[in-house]
Amino acid sequence: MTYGSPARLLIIFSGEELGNLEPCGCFEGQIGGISRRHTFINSIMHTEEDIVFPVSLGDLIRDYRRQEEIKMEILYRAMEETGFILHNLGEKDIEIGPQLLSYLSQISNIPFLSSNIKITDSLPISVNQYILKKCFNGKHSYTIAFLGIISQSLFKNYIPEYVSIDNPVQTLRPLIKDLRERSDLIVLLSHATQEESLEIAKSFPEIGLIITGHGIDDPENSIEYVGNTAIVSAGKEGKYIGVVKYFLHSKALERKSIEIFPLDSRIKDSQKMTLLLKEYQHIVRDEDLLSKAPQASLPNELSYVGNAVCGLCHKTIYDHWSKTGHGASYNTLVSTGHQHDPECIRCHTTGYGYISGFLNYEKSRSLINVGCESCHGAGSNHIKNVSDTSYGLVDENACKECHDIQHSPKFQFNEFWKKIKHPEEVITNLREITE
Amino acid sequence: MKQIKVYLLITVFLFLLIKLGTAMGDIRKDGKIKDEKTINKPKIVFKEQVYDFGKVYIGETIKCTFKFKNDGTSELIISNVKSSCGCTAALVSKNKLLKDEEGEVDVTYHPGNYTGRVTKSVIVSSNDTNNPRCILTITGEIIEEVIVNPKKINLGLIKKGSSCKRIIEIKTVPELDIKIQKLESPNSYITIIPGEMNDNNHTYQIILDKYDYIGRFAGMIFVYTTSKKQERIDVPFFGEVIGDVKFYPEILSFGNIRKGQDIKRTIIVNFLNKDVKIEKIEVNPNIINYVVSELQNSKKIDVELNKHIITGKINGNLRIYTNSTIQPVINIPIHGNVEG
Repeated sequence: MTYGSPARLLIIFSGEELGNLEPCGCFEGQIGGISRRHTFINSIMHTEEDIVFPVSLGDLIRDYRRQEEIKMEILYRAMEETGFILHNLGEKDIEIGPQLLSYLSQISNIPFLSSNIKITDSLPISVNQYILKKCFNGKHSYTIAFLGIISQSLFKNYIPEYVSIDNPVQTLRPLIKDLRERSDLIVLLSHATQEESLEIAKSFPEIGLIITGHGIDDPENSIEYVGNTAIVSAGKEGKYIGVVKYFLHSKALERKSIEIFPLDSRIKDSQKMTLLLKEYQHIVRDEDLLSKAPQASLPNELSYVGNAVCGLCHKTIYDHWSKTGHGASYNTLVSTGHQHDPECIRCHTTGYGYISGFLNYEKSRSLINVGCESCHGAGSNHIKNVSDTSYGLVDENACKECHDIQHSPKFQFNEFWKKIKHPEEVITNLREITE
Repeated sequence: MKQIKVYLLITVFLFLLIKLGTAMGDIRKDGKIKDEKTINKPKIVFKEQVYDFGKVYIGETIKCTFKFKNDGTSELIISNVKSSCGCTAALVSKNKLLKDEEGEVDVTYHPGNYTGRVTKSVIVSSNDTNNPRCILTITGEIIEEVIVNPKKINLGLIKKGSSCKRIIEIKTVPELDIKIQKLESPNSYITIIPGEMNDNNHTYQIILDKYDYIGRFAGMIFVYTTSKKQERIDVPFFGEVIGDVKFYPEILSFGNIRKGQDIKRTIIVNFLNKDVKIEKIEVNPNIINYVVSELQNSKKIDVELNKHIITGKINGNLRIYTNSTIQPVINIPIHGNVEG
């Protein structure tokens, strides 16, 4: 081997981002995100000793709303910047619809992979049954065959009309028979449960590596082996990244190690991805997704009145509230540039997603922040009938609507309650409102 | 070559030295080597490592306790208790346990809105060298009090001017006496008509009508019930009204860009009616440039900003004029913000 020639092949894998572009920022210590992923892969890519093939398992997004379409475009651009060589289609990618799939397949240089699905639509969508990649270490050339399957079980009761899915094992049989002669390593991206992937590993010992996992929370402890086949996962929500290292020996590839890394705060944010994430927030703002979210009606024809109205009678409480975290919750979004994001806004404003609730800053300025009615409920009937004492009772479960385990894992009612507990007050100007 | 041999010898020597050092700690005062049982070691032993909670209704919190004991001869130190996901919290009663002392790991799992079979794990790391990472597992099934089928409604491809109908079925658990109060959609083009009803089985027709907009649509149907755990179930629906031409994206955004930055955005236009052609394209403002190229069965329009563009907000559009009678003009808004 000559000096500077690659000595190792690194297959880097991620998947099941499910629309998680970055840690939401609700608490410290969150992991994941395209920005850290870019830094991580970039640091490896620039090592002359390694040939690096980053691959994507599938399910970039969670569902098929417009916001998810934008996310899928952003994630695809992030993968292009990061040097991904392929994207295996997951069921959620497929559900986004032929329009976006066709668009990405025509404008992007990252090809779609799926061995067992066929997409039949009037729009052109190119899906590769397998992808061969060559690598050269200065003396020898190696061929890596990438196959991809999707399990029918993941579609549950709904398979889009533009998709037909073949049995993965039956599809793989002739392909592997062909590819084992033409390749030095067969890698299967198995968009299936780990149990299904283990069964595939038993059927096809020719496969050297299976990248799998659907809903695996703990990929660091989920590595399995069937014979010489390693079955690995990068977990979900883009929190981890996996690296499988191979030595490029003169006659064959030898698997050296498998490592799963959490994308934690030790990895710096990439400047390029930070700009891309900023662009994402701009698109969300430009398309005014806040105003397009469906609004549910409130029971008993209730409506939100806004904090200022509450403050007319409950002045002491209002003054106290305005100094709490709840009273500044909208500004925490403004400071990070997330104030146009429907996914964040629900827990930083009052009544978002309900008729008469927060819609956007211009239309419902009085409902910014976690206001009185966020906890006590819409107040229109209360201001008409203040003697009704049934209004406003709150229990711990109301807090957990937002302070859930995903966004507020340290939430303890007794401790958090102290931070917002209202002072005693004497209501002085009751008549003004009742009139 | 000589250098390699020297390195190899040093490595072997160091290895033997380490092995000897380790072995010395395991030698008794009488000079004999201690057997496995008499070497002072902690040993973590859990009574059970798997908790099956069976079937639990959606929205309930699952709590369980895993009891363990230090069955070894020296102090057991629990260095870390880590759950596999944010939905599971784990707390150990004490971190240091003397010989024969017992401890507990309390695990709380919040399934949120998840339904179906679930397995979550908690990893307990300790100084037990034979078992440094114990995996505790909770498993079971989260079931619903109200089952809506389908959970999302695909209204499919609909020709402009046509209507479309789907059936939604709602089942409730008989012994819980849950009522379906109403179904409604904030999307005015959706009509909901009640169908067959009995105590625990309800059907509704979902009809899309009078929707003239060509392109993808998505919305929500809200199912209100008397279930305390599922007071409102959101059923998303989606589909697409098709005309002669399909295009993506429907809005073009450049985001926040620096002046002089080289940025291109692409629009793909597909013709479902092969007789339809693009007659002309207009852009507004004229600081936006575009280039049209042919792809297989489609046209690609690359849109770029003129490098001499002034700073500030861009609010423009690109108009595609066609010979289609139902889509004579396709308007694509263009947004962006240019920083100095």
